[in-house]
Amino acid sequence: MTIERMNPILEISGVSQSFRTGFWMRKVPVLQDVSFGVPSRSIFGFLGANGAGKTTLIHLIVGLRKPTQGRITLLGQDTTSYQARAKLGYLPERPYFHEHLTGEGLLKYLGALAGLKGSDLKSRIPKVLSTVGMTGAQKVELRSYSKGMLQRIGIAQALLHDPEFLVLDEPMSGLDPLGRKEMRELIRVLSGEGRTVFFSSHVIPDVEAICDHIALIQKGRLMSTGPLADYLSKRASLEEFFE
Amino acid sequence: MSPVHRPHPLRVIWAVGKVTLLELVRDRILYNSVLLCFFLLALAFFASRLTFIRPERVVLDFGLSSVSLSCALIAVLLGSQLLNREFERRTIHVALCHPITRLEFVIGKFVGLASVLALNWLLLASSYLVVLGYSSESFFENTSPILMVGLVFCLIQSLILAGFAILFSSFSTTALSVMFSVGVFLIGNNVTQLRLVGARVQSQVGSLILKGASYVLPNLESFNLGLQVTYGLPPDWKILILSTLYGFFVLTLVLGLSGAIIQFREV
Repeated sequence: MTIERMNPILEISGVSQSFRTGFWMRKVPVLQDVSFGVPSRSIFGFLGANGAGKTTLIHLIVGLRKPTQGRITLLGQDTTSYQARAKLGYLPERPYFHEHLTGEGLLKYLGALAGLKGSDLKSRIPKVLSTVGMTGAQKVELRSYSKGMLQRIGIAQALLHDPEFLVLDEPMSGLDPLGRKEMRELIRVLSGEGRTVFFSSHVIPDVEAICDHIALIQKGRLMSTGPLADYLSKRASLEEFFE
Repeated sequence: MSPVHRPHPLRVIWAVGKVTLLELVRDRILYNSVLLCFFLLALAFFASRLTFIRPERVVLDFGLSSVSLSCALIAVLLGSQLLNREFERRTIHVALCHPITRLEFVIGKFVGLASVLALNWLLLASSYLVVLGYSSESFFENTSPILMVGLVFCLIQSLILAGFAILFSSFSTTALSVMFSVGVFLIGNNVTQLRLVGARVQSQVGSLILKGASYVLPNLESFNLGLQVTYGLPPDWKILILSTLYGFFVLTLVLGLSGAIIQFREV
């Protein structure tokens, strides 16, 4: 499906990214000419093996880096702009937060950075904690949170400013089967609220279970993209595309 | 979905500063530096008991140096790891994906460290004045205006050092930042000596390098009033005000530079 036909909320056009490494600062390409669109209000799965370039592209999408070449726009605005960053929520691959903060302290801190203040911030905190099922743990320091709780508080902070576009980097990594099931349900709920959810994973069953659109990436190059149903009509499982 | 606006820079700086303050008050380096200062103050007090002529001078000089050293240690050791810790633990990722600038983030980190330095300074300066009071015949005998200015200048010097530590950590490792900052502290407190050596060196190139370094590096001697305090010299307010303005100019410069460097650093 072309970008023009599907009303994308996020457009990635001709994006390449390279890093300089080693003593001689050799250029290493990580992403090469990646182009695709993310349809509005979809659950978009970004699938690739470890080291395929998923997190690098996510860093470009959330505005942490600028692409070496190409352009990424969210609702028509460059993702490095303030306007675009104000409209997205981001859960990093491993939720690294300040361990000395309580759940509530973290939400107050990141809420302030998102532009929320006063009563708006106070009213949003219990709402997002309730959405992710963390109401009882808001006064507990993050250092005593389990992996699942950190993922949940990570989603809570991403939802705090009520963004239209959610970027979740490997949201199910390290979770037990029950935790994965709960996370899948949570993603469905968030999508049901009218958000576009973009999530990366290297676990095919997770993507097959909840996504309606996907993009497959391998060694920094986009292999293909489109509705999940199109893929499954051709093959029994997405696994076959990687063989 | 609710419309969200770009947060006011002061709100961002306040939020980052508060989290940094809460993080730093849990750091062992802070308490070790404070303990070192208390140890030196106690040493100064007992040393003054062994002196027959003007024992309060020992406390005056030794105590002021202890406060200055402790503040400088905290500024260098905590400041050097402030940004690198954010990068290593990747806590910077969730902060920078929000609609804020990297300069606001750097200033916020500095404000957090400056708050810790101010609290530490308040504690040490009060302890110093108490020790000074006990070692004098009357409590306020040695609390001259120049002593108060000397104490405030210890704080300003540590703020400048913190700024430099943050600047160095914006492009190098924590260990290198500590080394560079200690270098700035040592050279900055011996600028006059550096100029003298520069004037006496035979080689023209060497002389130029030493003189150039003495003008480029911050002159921290302006904030070292040990001699004036020990001999109770009257303060020259014009020079003191100019020194203060110079300190804040240098601080603005290094923080601006740190923000510019961080802008280009890969996260």
